[in-house]
Amino acid sequence: MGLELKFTRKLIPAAILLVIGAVFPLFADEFLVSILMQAYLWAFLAMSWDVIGGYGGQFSLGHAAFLALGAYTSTILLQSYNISPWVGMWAAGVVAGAAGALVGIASLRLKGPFFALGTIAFAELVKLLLLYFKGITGGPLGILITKSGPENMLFETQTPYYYLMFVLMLAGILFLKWFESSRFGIGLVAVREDEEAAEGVGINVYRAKVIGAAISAFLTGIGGTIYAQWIHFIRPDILVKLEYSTQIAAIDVVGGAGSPYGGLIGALILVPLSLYLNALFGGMIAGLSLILYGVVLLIVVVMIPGGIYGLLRRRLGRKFSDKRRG
Amino acid sequence: MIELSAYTQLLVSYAILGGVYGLTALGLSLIWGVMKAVNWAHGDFLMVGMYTAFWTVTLFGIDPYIAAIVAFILLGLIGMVTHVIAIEPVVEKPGGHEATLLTTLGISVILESLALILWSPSPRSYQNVYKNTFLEVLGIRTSVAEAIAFVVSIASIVAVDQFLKRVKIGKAIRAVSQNPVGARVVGIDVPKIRLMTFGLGVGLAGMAGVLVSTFYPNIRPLAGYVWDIASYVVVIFAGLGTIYGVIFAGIIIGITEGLGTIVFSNAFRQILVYVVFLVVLLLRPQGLFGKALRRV
Repeated sequence: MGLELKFTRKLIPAAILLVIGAVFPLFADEFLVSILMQAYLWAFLAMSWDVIGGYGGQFSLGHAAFLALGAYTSTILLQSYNISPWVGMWAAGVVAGAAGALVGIASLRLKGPFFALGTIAFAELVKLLLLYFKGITGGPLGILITKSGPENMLFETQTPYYYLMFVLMLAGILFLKWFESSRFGIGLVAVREDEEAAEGVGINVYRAKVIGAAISAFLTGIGGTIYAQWIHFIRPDILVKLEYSTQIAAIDVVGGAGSPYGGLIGALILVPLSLYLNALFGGMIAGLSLILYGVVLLIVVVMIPGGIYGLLRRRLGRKFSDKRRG
Repeated sequence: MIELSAYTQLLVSYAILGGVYGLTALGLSLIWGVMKAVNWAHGDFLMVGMYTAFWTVTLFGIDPYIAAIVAFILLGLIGMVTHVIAIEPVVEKPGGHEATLLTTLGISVILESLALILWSPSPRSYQNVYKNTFLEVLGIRTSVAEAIAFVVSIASIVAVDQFLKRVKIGKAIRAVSQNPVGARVVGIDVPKIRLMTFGLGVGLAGMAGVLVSTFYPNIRPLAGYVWDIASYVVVIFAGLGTIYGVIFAGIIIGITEGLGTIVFSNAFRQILVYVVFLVVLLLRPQGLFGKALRRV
């Protein structure tokens, strides 16, 4: 009976949402499709952040740097060496992951807010280096993607991008679901809760933090490739923005950090909110959507510490336990 | 020898800029010391200070240095409101440091957007004689505005230090910073001290914003960002929670920028600052002038 209950309670809603997500572009207009698509991308980036930020408890504010490293790696491979981003995205992940490992090493010495500040400086440094090495990166002018065709991950309409990001988002959730029950994931959570105790039970703290940061950056780098393929154009100042780093972290925190669904929930709330308001008031009142974004962030952090997923789980959990008792 | 004096000139300008960095960092450092909170909106309070200067000078024609006092009071009040909304509710909860980072990020976004809506993104500046009058000491030229900004920065830092040492509230602030539990035991109203410290820190940021606007006339909604990063670099460099450290750290950062410009290029200047910053952060996370952190 337990299995049956689990099936109806979990799998059926998941299947319904999956079908809705899959057929959505058939019924919605291009604007809505584009909004949802961006929400998926940000959800994936927030989930990538979650590995080290949520499960690892290392509050990174430099993830835009990994996004940019990924975007630049695959774009340079595509434009200069004619290597398809379908291949390049893995290289992008590796380059970003290597940078992530460096940040992970730094996290051994930098605790709490020091780590956050260190990652900000790291991201600034990456931006300045991208600007400085003009020969490879195009400097402040950036790189325009001039190729075309699905073999280069470039599409004429928004719908293929929608499915690309939909799959990316689903892959992110499945990965986190696997990750949180994996030996390594459990070890990382133990390190977050109490480093010394984790060390006491034989977890290699050094290894956990460095690999955790590398995985997080690897995934963010892949997200960077997809992002670049979608906007067709990369430039240091539009990619390595503190705004992006904080947005990635904020989406995850609002949705619920340290859970597979937090990123998606946060992105589904914050991304459409800001994009929709931008479209609505864009010309007249630029900045209005950002105010709401700030207000939502403030309210969630002050009033709902576990994020929205945490709140839902507490509410639902209580309901179910009430039923059982009754 | 012309080149050499040009270099000296450049280094002195950067050292002066560094002194102002010290003041911009002071408020952050105080707030960190007392409540271990990272104030993410610091640069935006600086920006509001710049606009305060712009509006008071253009509307009422008052002197920008009087505007600095206006900004100190106004931003002090805004700071206290911010504290009540964004800091006090989360600061004592588990994970409070990260939470303050996010709540002040929310405040930062709100302030920047409000400034964009109210005052448009185009940069503004106001007329002031100090910017266009120059002093010459030992062959080094500097504008009066920069010289005053430097002197006022140093004086403010000394004043804050004396306030913390001699005035009763100042002593209470130090007590909370050193040992919040002990402070509570001896009857200090810790939440009230936190409120006053946040107000003071933000007020100082507002004043710094006015001083910056007297010689760096580029007042726009996102102007705080540059100063934000500079302030964080200085605070980390000095060691969070130190007072005099920020002056030296500010000047060192300023001179490092100057050296970077001379030895390499202007583009390389900032790269050098971040490299130095990261190296210091990794080798001496307590900062150059901070005491070693105890493991708790």
